Amino acid sequence: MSVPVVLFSPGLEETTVSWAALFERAESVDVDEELVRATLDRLRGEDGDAA
Amino acid sequence: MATPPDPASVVADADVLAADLLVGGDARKALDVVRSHSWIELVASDLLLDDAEATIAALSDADLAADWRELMEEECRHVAHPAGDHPGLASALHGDAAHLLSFDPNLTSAAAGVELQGRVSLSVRTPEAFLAVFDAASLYEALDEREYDGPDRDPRS
Repeated sequence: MSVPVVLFSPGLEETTVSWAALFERAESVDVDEELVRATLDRLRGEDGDAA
Repeated sequence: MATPPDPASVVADADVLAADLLVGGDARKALDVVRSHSWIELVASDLLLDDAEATIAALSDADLAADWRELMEEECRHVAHPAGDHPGLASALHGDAAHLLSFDPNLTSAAAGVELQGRVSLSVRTPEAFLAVFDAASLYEALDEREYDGPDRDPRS
């Protein structure tokens, strides 16, 4: 008789978002402030066009 | 009569919020000052957070942007303002914040400063300029009349 394998782990169900974790995930994103600024301008422009 | 702005309330425009996460640099250093003091409030409207989340999603991925939004929802004091207002400026004005951080030269230029002067009591600065002038110790001692003991929160928690 085989033993059932429990795949549930309560500790893995609750993920707490922290700044440290977010910054670590964002490390692979290669952008600079100018690109961020330009992207926001574009998005706000698109929003304005749509309104 | 208008409420005087709170010198311990800060608004970061969507570009600074996104740069804090995706770039680091002065945006992160400036927001670390906010995050590391429980008595300094970050103020934002839903529209401002919408802009920052959309910028983050456009430059990285939607999951990262959604998790960032979840954390920001817990971290900031929410204010409302009419749609169509500039989200950064309007968050500062409706949230009685004394500081607005932005990379937008239309807001941070000397000409913009002159135009705002006399109409609103709001200091609009780049994160770099904010870091150069904002002194948490002297502000704390002025507000609380107690000795400043340094940061009281982990800015990475």
